[in-house]
Amino acid sequence: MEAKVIGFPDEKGGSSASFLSDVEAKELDRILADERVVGFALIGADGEELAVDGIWAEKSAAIFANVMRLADRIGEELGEKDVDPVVFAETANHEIAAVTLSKAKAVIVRDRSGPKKGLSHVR
Amino acid sequence: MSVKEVLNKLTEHNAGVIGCMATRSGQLHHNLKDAYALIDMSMIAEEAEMMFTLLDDLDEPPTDAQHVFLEMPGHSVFAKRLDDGVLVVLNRPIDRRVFKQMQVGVNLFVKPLSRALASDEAEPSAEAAAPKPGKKRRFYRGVEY
Repeated sequence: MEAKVIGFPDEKGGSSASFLSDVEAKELDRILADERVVGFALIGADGEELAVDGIWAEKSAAIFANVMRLADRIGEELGEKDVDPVVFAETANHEIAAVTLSKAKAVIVRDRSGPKKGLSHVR
Repeated sequence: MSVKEVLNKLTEHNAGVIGCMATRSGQLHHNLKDAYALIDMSMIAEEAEMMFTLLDDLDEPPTDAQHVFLEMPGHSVFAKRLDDGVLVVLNRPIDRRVFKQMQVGVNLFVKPLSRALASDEAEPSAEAAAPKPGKKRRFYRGVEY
């Protein structure tokens, strides 16, 4: 996936970059440059979609906003209030990470069947 | 093995696991210690099930999400989808990389757990198993039929 998403213009003519600190934007750019990354969503504090790209673009922001809310409620029940759990999920073909940043939540979808970047391909 | 025994073994054989719970058809089983007596375990199991339902909705056909892992400062939570319910494993705070290694140890118990849950559900209640008045009990080699 191209790392074009940072600074992606939103519906209000602003930019998703304003929701990310410099460090966050840089790190997200690095992650999105991974060829196994096939989807991305940036979600606002109230669950609104700020930027999406790639797989499940129509639904991912709304669905992950709710998944992260459920994760928050599980955390609260365990006595962990206001901690914003990091959520990882796996499907047959994808792995998903959802993390809370300083002003937004980011969701990264990675293809599990794509080329591996570990040492397995080194001869 | 009963559901309780499988849950106990899962906890004993995996360092870092605090306790676990499993549901099947809405019925909750758990082996969490007294320190967790006040938490609403049904609610946690329901939220975990709801996460899988939401994740399924991402795609058509459904994504069939298999597990969810939550990282928090004080705990980590692993939820695995079962045939008709979920297994929720409550761990000390570990990151996902560490959990990936111990996941094999948790997965070993999934089949026995599913079997135990299924047989628990199939087991007739004491009331249902009680002989009906006026009906003669019949045995073949000691087994009632």
